Amino acid sequence: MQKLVVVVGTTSALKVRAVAEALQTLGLWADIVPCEVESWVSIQPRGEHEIQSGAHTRVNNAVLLKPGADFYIGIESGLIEKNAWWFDIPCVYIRARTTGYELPVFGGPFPIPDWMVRRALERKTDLGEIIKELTGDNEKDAQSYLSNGVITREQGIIQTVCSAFAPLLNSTRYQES
Amino acid sequence: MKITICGSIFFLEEMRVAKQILETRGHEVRIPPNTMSDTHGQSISAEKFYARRKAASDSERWVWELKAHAMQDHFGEVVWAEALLILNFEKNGVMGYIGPNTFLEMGLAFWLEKPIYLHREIPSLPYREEILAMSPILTGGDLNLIPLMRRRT
Repeated sequence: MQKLVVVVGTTSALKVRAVAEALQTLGLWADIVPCEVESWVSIQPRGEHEIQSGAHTRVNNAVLLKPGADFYIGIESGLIEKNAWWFDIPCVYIRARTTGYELPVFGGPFPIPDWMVRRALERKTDLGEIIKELTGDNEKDAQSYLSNGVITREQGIIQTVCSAFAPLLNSTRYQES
Repeated sequence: MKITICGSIFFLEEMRVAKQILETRGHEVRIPPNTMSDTHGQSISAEKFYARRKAASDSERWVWELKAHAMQDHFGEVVWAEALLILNFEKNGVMGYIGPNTFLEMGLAFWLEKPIYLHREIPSLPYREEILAMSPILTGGDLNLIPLMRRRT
C-alpha cells in the first residue's frame, strides 16, 4: 500500500491527533504534515458560511505552503444559532490533489450556554480560551467540559473526517444501483 | 491587477488554488488551461499531457507541436498580464525551482517590463544570475504582498 502524504492546516495537537486517528480507522497509511496557516475568519467564527470559509481557506493556504501532497484537510470549529440555542460545530474540508475531489462536511452540533458565548464575544476570544480559563486545560475542549467527559471534541472531529472521506473511499456505494 | 501565473504543470492544482485566492482579492488571473487538444482533436488533461511528454521520444512530433502551442498560448497570457506570479515550489530537490519554460516566460515579462513575483526563493540553478538580473519581487509565499494596482516605476 502506498503511503499517503496528508497535510493538515493546523498545528493544534487535538486536531492533528483526531486526523491521525480517523485515517487509521479508515485504513489509510499516511504521513501527517501539520502546518500553521491562517483561516482569514474571525477568532470565533459564527454561522455555517464563516465556519466553512475558515476550513476552506486553511486548505487553500496549506496547498500553497506544502504543495504536492495527496490530501489536504482544513478543520474549523464555530458557533451556529438554532432554536434560540448556540451550538459548537466542526467543519472538515478535504481536498484530494490528484482527483480534485473536495468536500466540506459539518460535524454534530453540541449545545453551548449563552453566557459562555457572550463571554467569548465580549473578550474577542474563542470558546476554547474560555474553557482553558475554567479548566486550566490546554485542550480547550468545551464539549468534554460541558458533558462532564462523556463526549470529546476529538471524537467529533474524528467522525467528521471519516464522513468527509466516505464518498471517496466508497464511491460505488454512492452510485445508484 | 491582471496576473498570469507561471510554473511547472506538475503544480497545476496549486496554480488553481492561487488563482482562486487572488480572485477573491480582486485580481484577474489566468493560468495554463486544464485541457489541451491532441492531433485528433481529442481532449487531454494538462496533467496527462505532462506525464506523456516526459515519456516521449524526440521523434514524436505531435507531442512537441502540442508543447509549442501550449508555450505560445501562455506567452500570450504573459503579454496580456500586468504582472507575473511564478509558483516556484521545490522540485527535483531544488528549492524554489524554476524550469526552463517558466524561465522563458520570465524573460518575456522582463523584456515587456512587467513585475515578476516569485512565490519562493531564487533557486540555485545555472541561470540564477539571469533571474537576479530580472529583479523579481519575493513574496515569501504571501499572496497579500501582490498589490491590487500595478506600481508605476
